[in-house]
Amino acid sequence: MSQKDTLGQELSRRGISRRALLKFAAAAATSLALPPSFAPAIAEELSKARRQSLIWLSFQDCTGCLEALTRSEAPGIERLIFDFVSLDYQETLMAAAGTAAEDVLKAVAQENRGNYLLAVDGSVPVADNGVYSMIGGRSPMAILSELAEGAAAVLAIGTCAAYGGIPKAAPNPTGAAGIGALVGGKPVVNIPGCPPIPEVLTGVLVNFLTFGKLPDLDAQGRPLAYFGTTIHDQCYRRPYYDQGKFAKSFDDAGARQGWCLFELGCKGPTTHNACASLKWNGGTSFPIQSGHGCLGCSEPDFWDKGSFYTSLSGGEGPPWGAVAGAAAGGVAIGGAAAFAARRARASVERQLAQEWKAQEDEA
Amino acid sequence: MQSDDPFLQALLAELRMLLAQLLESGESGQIDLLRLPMAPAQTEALRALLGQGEIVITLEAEGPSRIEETRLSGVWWVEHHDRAGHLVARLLEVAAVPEIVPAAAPDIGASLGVLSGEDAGKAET
Ligand code: SF4
Ligand code: SF4
Repeated sequence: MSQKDTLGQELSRRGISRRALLKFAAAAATSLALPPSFAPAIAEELSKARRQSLIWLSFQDCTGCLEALTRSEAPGIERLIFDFVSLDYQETLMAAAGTAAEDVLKAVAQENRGNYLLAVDGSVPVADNGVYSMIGGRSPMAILSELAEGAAAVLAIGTCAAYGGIPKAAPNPTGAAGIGALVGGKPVVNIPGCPPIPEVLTGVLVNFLTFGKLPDLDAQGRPLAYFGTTIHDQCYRRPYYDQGKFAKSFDDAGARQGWCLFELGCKGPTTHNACASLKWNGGTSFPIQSGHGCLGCSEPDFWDKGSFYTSLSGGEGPPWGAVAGAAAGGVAIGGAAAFAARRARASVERQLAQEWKAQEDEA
Repeated sequence: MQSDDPFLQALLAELRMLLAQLLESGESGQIDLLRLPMAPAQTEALRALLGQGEIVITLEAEGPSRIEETRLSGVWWVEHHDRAGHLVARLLEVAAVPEIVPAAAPDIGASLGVLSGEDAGKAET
């Protein structure tokens, strides 16, 4: 496809129908926590958009993020996003290698200067002049600075790129750091998770293509639509937490009845991510639904926060006084908690709706 | 229609509001069920509660979709799947006909173009 064509022209040439685009937009609206009534407008804006150039760099990573993103919905509707972006450089996926690949990178960065999105997975080793991860004889920091300078924005994909992740775990021998700590003067969106939820990247790209800007972020640089609430806020086991019903081991009667996993180390109460609502593997399930607590993988330094199996209160369960009070309220409190979560989500929706309207008024 | 679950009660109240709005102003409404913190059993309970109406529509566009009228006329249970069969959207849509179903003007125009082209071809021969 020529980058001058609109996506609508390209899709209809390829026999992708208006209804397929509407379906994609409905899925994107769900994922962005936008009201579903926005789907037709998203479809309309996407069909008017032009293909977006994306340059993807990998530094100190395990390639798990890329695996999660490219394998997840490979044959699914999410794959349409790959029609909306032109992935111009990704060393694991591209056929070219060595100097040929480096030449492609130079040419693409030059041609799309100021307009390309720069995605990065993996952390950047800054100790000892970056010798721990040299690429083509250059340090990751040198490559990052040069390409971030010409980018419209930078997407830090995965917890390693966002906050340093596992390479940064104590004692951090390579001086690993996240992108946001190293790149100045450019908007950086953190999409943490180990790995990140694929739909979040799709949502950020759809947001960029339809609104022409990046989504609103929380204090940790994460899109509010996905990271605005905790796993605990959205967890379907929450009524059990509120009633003080906790599994004490992975195979006790409580575990079998689906009770709360707090005492088994669940970090849901302090972890911001969308696993409990978007879920994994095409909405199949998420760790807590499969019987294991949240590890807190989308938070900075999750690897250094003690055992995954120690509860947040140090192994002794939640503050029992408060739980006893909540238990007396029973199901009603569970319902109230669910609605508190919904209210938080509704405020994000309202904010996005306002942005959308402002955008339309400007146009 | 009643439920003991306060969460489902609230959803029914929202449906009531959307139906009233549809009657008064003709404006349709949707509830995004995938983004609500519902246990799988709650989703099943809601589906059972709403029951089955007279119409079931299947749609094949980059994967199957199933659009079912519920026992409440004007309330539709919509599920979109991708080609791998994964669920990508689950909505309750309150409308006379869900938005994705009717043919759109540009597509109807394209059909007209196809037939007009055929007619022109025949006239030439
Ligand atoms: S502690 Fe974990 S399992 Fe329990 S309600 Fe919170 S997120 Fe769910
Ligand atoms: S449930 Fe927790 S540990 Fe698991 S993927 Fe989600 S945020 Fe990460």
